[in-house]
Amino acid sequence: MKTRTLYLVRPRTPYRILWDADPVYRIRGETIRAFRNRDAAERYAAEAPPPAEVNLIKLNVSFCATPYGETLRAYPDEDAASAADDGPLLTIPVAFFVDWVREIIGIEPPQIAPRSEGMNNREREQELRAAWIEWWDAIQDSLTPAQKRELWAALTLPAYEIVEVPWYRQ
Amino acid sequence: MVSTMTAEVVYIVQEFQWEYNDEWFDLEGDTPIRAFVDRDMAEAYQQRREAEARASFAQSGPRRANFPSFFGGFPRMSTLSEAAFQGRLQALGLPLPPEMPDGDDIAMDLSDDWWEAVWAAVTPDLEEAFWGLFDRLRFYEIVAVEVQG
Repeated sequence: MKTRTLYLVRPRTPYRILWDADPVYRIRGETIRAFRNRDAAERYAAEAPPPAEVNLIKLNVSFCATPYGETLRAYPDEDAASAADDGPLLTIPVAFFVDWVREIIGIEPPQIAPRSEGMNNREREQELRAAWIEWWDAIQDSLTPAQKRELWAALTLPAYEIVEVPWYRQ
Repeated sequence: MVSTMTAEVVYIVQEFQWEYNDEWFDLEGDTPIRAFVDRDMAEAYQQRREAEARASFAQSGPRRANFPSFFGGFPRMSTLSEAAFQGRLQALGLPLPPEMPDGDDIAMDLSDDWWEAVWAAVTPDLEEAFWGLFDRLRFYEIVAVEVQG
């Protein structure tokens, strides 16, 4: 049997996996595109707009205090945060993130008080995490698909990934 | 001029990743593994891999250890209503789950005793139909996609 390589372009999480009927994930296999050659696949992956639906964006935040100030790391979800396999999506000073949220999605970020005197790093991390996650949970449902797309595009790596599979032909 | 060329369709077999989250297995991902020009070949491959995965899953433990509890309850494993599930069991001549106390249903619990009894009654010729009751519990799927470029 003859085989060739087929190049599949598929949306990365979270475009690919959406909550359907709670509590079961629906895998969006129909969003795959198939190409005979890698160049065409890469072109599509680079140029196509992200899928219209983005239903699942989790924000998990970790915090570290550096000599340069407090920074915030945002991950797409808790797994990524623990494994850090995709790397932090953002590692930036909190103040920049605040401006960015305001500018990109036009929503006021959480109001976070300056670190209180005597507060240690662990306490400050807990305070920041709680504030950001509470804020995120509260606004996520009110974001439009366009805002979610924009936010995700700004946060992460490309919306698509390329997967090679053997293509069995008779 | 209207083109008479029709796009070529490929049938992609995808493998699902079930991951244990310390409470149950969740469907966490999907990986395309092979593509076929011919749908029958894709189906034959998918069915073979599905059977292998079920056998391996069964051997690795949960088969006789109440696997609904490994998947977080019946609704995560099946789209069937409770009544439809019971009807299908009855049609297969398999034991019905014990009646739940008022207000409860089979949503979260299929008892270990029932699971033990039902598997004892699942003969090899009923296995396929029995797995079919749990239509959300799949290890592979086929996705048809048009080839471009």
